[in-house]
Amino acid sequence: MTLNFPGGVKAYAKSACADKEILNISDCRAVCLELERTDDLRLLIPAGAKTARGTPLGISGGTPVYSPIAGEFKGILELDGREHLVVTSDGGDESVRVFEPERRRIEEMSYSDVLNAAKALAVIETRRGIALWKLMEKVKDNCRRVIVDCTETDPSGSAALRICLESPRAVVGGAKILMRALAAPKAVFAAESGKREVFELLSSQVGDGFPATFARIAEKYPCGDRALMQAIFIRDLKKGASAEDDGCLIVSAETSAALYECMAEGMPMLDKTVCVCGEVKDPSVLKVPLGTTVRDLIAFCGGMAETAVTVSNSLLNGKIINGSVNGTVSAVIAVTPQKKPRRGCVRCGKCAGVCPAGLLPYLVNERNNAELKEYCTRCGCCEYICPSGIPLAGMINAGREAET
Amino acid sequence: MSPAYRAPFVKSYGGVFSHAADLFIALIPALMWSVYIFGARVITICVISVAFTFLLDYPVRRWIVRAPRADLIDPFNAVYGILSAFMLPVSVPLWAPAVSALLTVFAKNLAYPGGRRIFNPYIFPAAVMNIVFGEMMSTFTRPLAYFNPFSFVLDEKLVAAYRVISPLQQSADGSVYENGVVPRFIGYASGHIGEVAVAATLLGAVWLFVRKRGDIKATFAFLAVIFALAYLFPSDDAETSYYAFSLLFTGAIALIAVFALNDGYSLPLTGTGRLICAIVCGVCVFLGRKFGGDTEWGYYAVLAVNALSPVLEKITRPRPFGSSGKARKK
Repeated sequence: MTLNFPGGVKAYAKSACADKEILNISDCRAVCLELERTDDLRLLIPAGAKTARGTPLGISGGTPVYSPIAGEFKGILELDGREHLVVTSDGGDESVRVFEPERRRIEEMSYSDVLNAAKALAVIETRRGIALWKLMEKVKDNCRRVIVDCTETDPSGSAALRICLESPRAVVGGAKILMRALAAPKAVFAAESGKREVFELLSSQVGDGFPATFARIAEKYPCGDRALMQAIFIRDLKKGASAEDDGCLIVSAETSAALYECMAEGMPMLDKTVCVCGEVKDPSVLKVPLGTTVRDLIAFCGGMAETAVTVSNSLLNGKIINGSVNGTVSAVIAVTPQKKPRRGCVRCGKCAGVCPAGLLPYLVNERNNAELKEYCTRCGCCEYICPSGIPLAGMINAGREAET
Repeated sequence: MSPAYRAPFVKSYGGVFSHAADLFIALIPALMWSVYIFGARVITICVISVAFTFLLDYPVRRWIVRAPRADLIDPFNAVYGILSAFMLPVSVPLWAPAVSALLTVFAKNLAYPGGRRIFNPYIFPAAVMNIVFGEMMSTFTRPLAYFNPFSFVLDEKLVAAYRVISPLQQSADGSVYENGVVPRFIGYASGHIGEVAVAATLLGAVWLFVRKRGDIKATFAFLAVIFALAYLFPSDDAETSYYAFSLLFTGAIALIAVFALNDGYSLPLTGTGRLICAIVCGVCVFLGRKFGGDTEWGYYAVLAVNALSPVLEKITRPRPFGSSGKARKK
């Protein structure tokens, strides 16, 4: 049975690299690591020091930051108005192990073992860019479900699909580790209903005696935490609340696989799987060091159309990305922005039909539209679907910004 | 790499023109049937109505409403023109569709800020013309009696020779339409140009619902309410199901159910609001036909729910997901 959630738009693009294997790319010229916070950053090595793959550069927000490539640490540089740790490559491939490879069975691991490993190995929850150990701490006492999100951020992307197809053991293994650590009674693997191969592969890895279910989610976008909760549990998240507050730890398939692989190898999470697609010459799914620049990614894929811009994660609510790939970027999509001539509202009501928050975006011009500003999730569905080309999302955001 | 770009970077294909085109396509079966029943004069009336709607709407939008440049030519005018022509009898003089178009343009530009119209732009002219030109609007001729399409005013004697009483007028008089309900459903009956084509209108409705341009619940609720009330409270000694079907297949019921009750401009866009409108409209039509003197209660019922729609939309506004009950009061 396909589980539906309110709002969202049906797949508006096709994936061009669903059949392509993940390519490991390590020969980037430099990496620029964007930090979650820079105010409490404590550098562990000076600028100019040599680094290997896995060398600790500093600690930020209680989580270590490692060098994803071997080369020279250049220090903190400001790029696009944000501070980054920059490491230039020397072409070498030497690496240092920061953690003893885990040899114990999953059943023998405790909560603190997994928490410490996730912390030391700097495993990031890639959907939100938050350190996994912080999310684990939020649900440690009341975890009802571990939900592994195998959906894509955009229909043109296929990073999650390729991870599930190529590393099903790691995806399931990561979920098992989290379940064991958090004493969660059940795991849920959620993916778009069309990904039959993913469900078959994951269920073959799950094995008997492991309490897991598979949620076939409607192929609609964007599909975030709230959509998953609505589809799986038919329950709504209160405003400002997260899935963790409701006892559910939602992690991406990549996070789950990374936790398993990092613990098995004793190496921190240094790479990111990114689907580079859209108007590029050779759309591909690339596994690149964290902090790889978008320019390098596009170059690996043979360049892009002159009129195109690079967008992170989703064509509906993504942002233009010109800097580097951080932990949350699963897709870099080259697209020539489309425009529709603006006309008056025809009151077709389509914007209300696709709003995942149950709002009436066509009321944006009316005085009594406080709900719009308060509950809009900035998904961009209303503006996408509007036949009159009204910049609804922009107008709602402008109203919200004017108030603040 | 202009920073002026922002999400969403793609737009859906369907535009305003495709919306209007879907409505236009849905009207084609009824139009074709009307031409078959009433002759080429139907085409003349429709062309005049559409042409005048476009001609009168442009200056109003340009100099009075001051609409944006892209909105000066409204593709929906073609739909409104045909629908307002559908509410006229075939025997009207050729100035009547022009007057109807003028009223259509007035009603379509009479809107609240945000685009919500006060009255439906093709029901409003029909209602006004029924009040002002009562005799002309209730002069019906028998099916397959074709008149000169280019005669500005038809000869009175000629019209009188073919004049018949429409099924709706018969019902209002308390008599039974002898030809049964099947001819009425198919559209082999006298009446206004487009109103007789019940089956063809419902065929057009299928297209609208397939294209997701309408709310099938509202259409169904409106028809069901009329049928149920007529079945439960039949007129005197009339056979219940016959009376109920008679009410459904006469007058503008089909056009109202398919087009007027799916007009987002003049009705609430919330599902519940639309449903309430349909039910209220159905009850008004039934009560009007049963107890009222005038036969065209469908028009007035639609105008009544049009007037109610801002309030209905406000009170049926859905609660945002994740909000508490208090949030809605804001």
